[in-house]
Amino acid sequence: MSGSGTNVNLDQAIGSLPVPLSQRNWGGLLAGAVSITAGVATWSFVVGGFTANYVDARMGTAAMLAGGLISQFLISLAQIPPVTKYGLETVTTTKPQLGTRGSAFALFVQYLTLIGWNCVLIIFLGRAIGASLVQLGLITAEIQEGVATAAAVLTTFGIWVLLLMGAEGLKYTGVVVAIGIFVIGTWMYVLLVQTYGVSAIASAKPVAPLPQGRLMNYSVALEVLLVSTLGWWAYMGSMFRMVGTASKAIYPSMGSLGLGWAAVGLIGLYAGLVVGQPDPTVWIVEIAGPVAGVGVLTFVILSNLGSALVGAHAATLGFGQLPAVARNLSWASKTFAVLIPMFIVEMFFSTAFYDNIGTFMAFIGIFIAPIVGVQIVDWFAFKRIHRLHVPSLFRHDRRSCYWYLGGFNIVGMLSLALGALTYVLLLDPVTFVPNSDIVQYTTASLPSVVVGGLAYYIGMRLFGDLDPEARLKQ
Amino acid sequence: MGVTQGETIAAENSDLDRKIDFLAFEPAGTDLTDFDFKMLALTGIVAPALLLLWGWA
Repeated sequence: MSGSGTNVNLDQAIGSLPVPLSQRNWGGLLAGAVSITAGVATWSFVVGGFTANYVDARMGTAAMLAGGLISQFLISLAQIPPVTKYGLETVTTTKPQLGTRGSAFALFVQYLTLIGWNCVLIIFLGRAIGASLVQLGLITAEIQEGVATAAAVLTTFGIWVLLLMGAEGLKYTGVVVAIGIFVIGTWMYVLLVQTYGVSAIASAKPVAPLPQGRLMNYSVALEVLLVSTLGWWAYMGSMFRMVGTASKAIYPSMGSLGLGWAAVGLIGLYAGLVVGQPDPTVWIVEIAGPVAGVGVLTFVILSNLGSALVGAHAATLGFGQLPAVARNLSWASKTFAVLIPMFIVEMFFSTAFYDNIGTFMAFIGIFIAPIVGVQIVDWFAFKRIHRLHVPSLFRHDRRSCYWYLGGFNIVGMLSLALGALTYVLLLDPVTFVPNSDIVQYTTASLPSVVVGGLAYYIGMRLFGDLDPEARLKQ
Repeated sequence: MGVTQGETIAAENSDLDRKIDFLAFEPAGTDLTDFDFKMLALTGIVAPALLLLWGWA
């Protein structure tokens, strides 16, 4: 089942089993580099541009940075303790809360989040390559679409090759991409400020604010970053299970996935306000010419490839939780199987997928908020972080103390449903139009986290099995 | 007589079961310290609150 020989990488050897403490050897800087690689991609500019609809530069800067930090704070509490203490990947950490079989729902949410976003990134990358080749006169517009598709497919194949290296591939790619992101991101800021000036950026008005007033728009702008940042939950295990102490993990988590990705997103905010176009592959070429577009293309390739690689790695670890997969597929087969939907979407459904990705992702995001609330309560209020029975996380039958009722922790599942319902009642996740005036004081993600966590706390106290690990001692 | 495919699969499953059993004896990493909680609260609650006040002003 596992690989053999001197060159077997860690993921080939252990798959989705815990990383032994002796091999959790990533320091804070490396974890930070890999995190910023995952966090920064063209989605940063999309989110920044979306925020420009609601608020100006000052309010947008505050809302984006604060939203990133608040959500990443919650995700850090939910994921860093189990992931760094026991070397677990993300889906595994949900088994005590959702049950051995119930965690399949977490796998479903994680997989759709990771592969859905990967499709967006690689389709975008393919289109950017096609557009750049046309601008440089290397291809004609007639074959641009075909070239974009081919570029996307080839890039996905390249991701598979890099994935064969497992966590080692993340390490090498992460450092290179992080440096590239920092250099080119700084250049974009300088170009924007030199071309338009700080005054013009600061005085630019929001593009399409809601009619409900300044506070509501501020709150919705905050919500954009809260719900977007919650998506990092799906990535945490893949990266931070390689770090051996929680202390080393919190700084890269907050610095890269909380602050870093939002800071790059500010480029999209300012460009959206002052240029009316957050996409740097458009506005940079307009102000600095096609050669500058090559610089942007480099950024797009590095950042999107890096994020997609981390996402695919996390998806493979989650997919490996399925018993049939864990026992029968090699690391190479698992990684390829995880990427098959990407190949299909890129070749046959790229336009339809790209045009409807907002709808798709919004409904994925509303389930992650209550998952975070449930996990925080479980680790800290019920103190399960200290008595987690790790072997039970990898048993898929009654031998697991997290079997509960037929493999499901009903309280956990219902808590997710209540948290998701809370979100939808407060805010339409597709249009981002508030359904209630209370959103201006609460946002929608934060009540969803609280309701999920509170429902889990009350439900487990009244109806749940608070100490299934004790049965094993008996 | 050679080993059958079924016997090979059974042996591999038994090997995996043993690996899972031994997970109970693997050393664990460290928990979040009090200082870690304070830093998280500083970066995740205090700093965002100050940012939001600055943005609103």
